[in-house]
This record gives sequence, structure tokens and C-alpha cells, in this order.
Amino acid sequence: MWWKGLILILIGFGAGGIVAGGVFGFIAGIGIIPTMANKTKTSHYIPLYEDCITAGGVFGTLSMIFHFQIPLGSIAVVISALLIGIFVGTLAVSLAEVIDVFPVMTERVSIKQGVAILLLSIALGKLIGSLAHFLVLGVNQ
Amino acid sequence: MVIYINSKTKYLIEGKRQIRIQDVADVIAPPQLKNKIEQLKLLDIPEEKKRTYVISIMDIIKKVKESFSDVDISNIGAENVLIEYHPERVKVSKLWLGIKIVFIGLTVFAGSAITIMTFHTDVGISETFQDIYEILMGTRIEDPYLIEIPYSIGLFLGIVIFFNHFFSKRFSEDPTPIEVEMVTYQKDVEESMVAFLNEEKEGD
Repeated sequence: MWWKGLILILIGFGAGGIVAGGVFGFIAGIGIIPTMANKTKTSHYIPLYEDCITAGGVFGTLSMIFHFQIPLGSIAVVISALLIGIFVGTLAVSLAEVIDVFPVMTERVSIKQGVAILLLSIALGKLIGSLAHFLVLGVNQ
Repeated sequence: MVIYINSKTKYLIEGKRQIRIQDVADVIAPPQLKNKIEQLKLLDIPEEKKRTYVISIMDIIKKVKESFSDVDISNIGAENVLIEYHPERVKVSKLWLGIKIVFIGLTVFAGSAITIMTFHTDVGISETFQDIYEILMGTRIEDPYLIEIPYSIGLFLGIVIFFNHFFSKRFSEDPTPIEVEMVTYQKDVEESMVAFLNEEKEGD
């Protein structure tokens, strides 16, 4: 029944377009890339970074479908894990920043100095929490 | 007589420590007067250190009024001007720039891949696709390519249309979404910088 196949194709195609708008609109809007580009003074290369987002999205999706393998060894695993960690860490803090958590909290408890310590504590907290999650609690066993 | 001054929000000053009006503003005035006004000294950088200074447009008006009390000044630019002072010419090494770009590019690639993968796991998209396939085709299979491949194409097209370009090929002249975001971000940074520096100035 060819028309059923056609419906499947249409559903798939439409779902892809909508998910792309949501997920990648989120990445673009959350402000990770401007932060990174500003820190490294590479804002002229933003279109390139957008291409990297596109490529990453397609790569992630294809890996779900075709279950392919790229056996590059443990060093590649460590490097990509580090990069993913940087990205997710930036994402988490950007998320808090977008909804003005830091200005509101520092205003409420009227902190004037030591915001740097506060931020460092948040980062360290995330590090310890992440390590506890994977190593101590052993969620993957 | 009215003269017009126009300043951008930020200027990069390299090496020279005497900031004159011509360094941080455009002046519209009769040529001779313009020349004199532009040469007025506005600020002395106190130390050979990379730092950002803020001057208010009031400082410029005051300076001009001191020497030419009969001119009226109309400001059509920024109200506060940031001066980023570097003791020496800023040298950008090609290699370092390349390393940074590759690093950010890889981070963004890996991050984007992990975001879409966790999203797929989170919403259980594989099972959903299997369900839809079963509803329409009556059988359940491990990998319903008939829906997964169009999905991937749709996803790719969705991102490309959203970002409005793929590799160097741009589909229109509009800036891309993140470029727009970048402008907003830089404006925010400059505004906070002005507020922060002004507060520091008052503290002195």
C-alpha cells in the first residue's frame, strides 16, 4: 500500500522540520555560541559555528538510525566527552542566566561582593555532582 | 552655531595614551573649527595597562565648551563611550585563531550531536516511530527507515532553513539567528560595562 508509505514519509519529514526548529532554535537562542564567540573573539566565524551545529545535529540523528561505528579509540572518547561536558556546562549556566537566576538571587540575599566565589561554587558543585552521579552512585551499574 | 557630534559605543585605542576628541567622535562643523575641536585632549590614559575606560558624552561637551563657549553641541550618537586601551598593537596570531575556531567548532558539533541524541532518548522517538509504523503497516520492525530517513532529511532542512545558510552558501542577505543574537549580546555587555565603570568612577 503505497499511500501508507507516503503518509509515513510525510510524518517523518514534518516531524524532522518541527524538531529542528525547536531543538536548534533553543541552541541558537540560549546564547551559548555568542558567549563562546565573544570569549574567543571569533564572532566573524559564527556562520561556521552554525554549520557545526547543523553537522552535529545530522550526525546525532544518523547515529540513532544507522547504528554506525567510528572506532577512534579511548583518546577520542576522552576528548569528545570533554567537549560535550564544556557544552552542557555552558548550556546549564546559560539556562540559569536566561531566566535571571543570578541577578534575582544576589539581589534577594543582597550579596555585593563575592559573586565570583558564588559562580565558582556553582561550577564546583556541578563538577562534584556529576562525579558523584557517575562514580559514587554508580548509576550505570 | 550648532555643531554635531556622533560617537560609537566602543573604540579600540592601541598604543597612544592621549585620547583626543577625534579618536572617539565624529564632528560636523565648519572645517577650521572642526579641526580645532577634534584636536582637543579628552583623556590621559594613566597607566600602560590593558583596561577599558568610560567617558560620558558630557565630558566631550564640557571639553568643547571650555574652549568654544559660543557653540551649541548636538549629540546624535552614543551617550557613553567605551575606550578599550591596549598598550601595544593587538596582534592576532593566525595559528592561535585557528586553534580557537577548531576548538569551538568541535565543541559546538559535539554539543549539538549530544543535544539531539538526548532529546531523542528523552522523548523515546525510536519507539514512537515504531508505533507509527505499526499503526500504518501492521507490523513492528526494529528500524522503520521509511519514517526515520525522511525524518533526518526534514531535520536537516529544518536546521538549514532556520540558520539560513549551509557552508558558505547563504540563501539571503539577512544576518543569521546567532549573528543577531551576538549583536544583542554585545550591546548588553557594553551597557553593563558602562554601568559597572561608572559605578567604579563614582566610588573613587
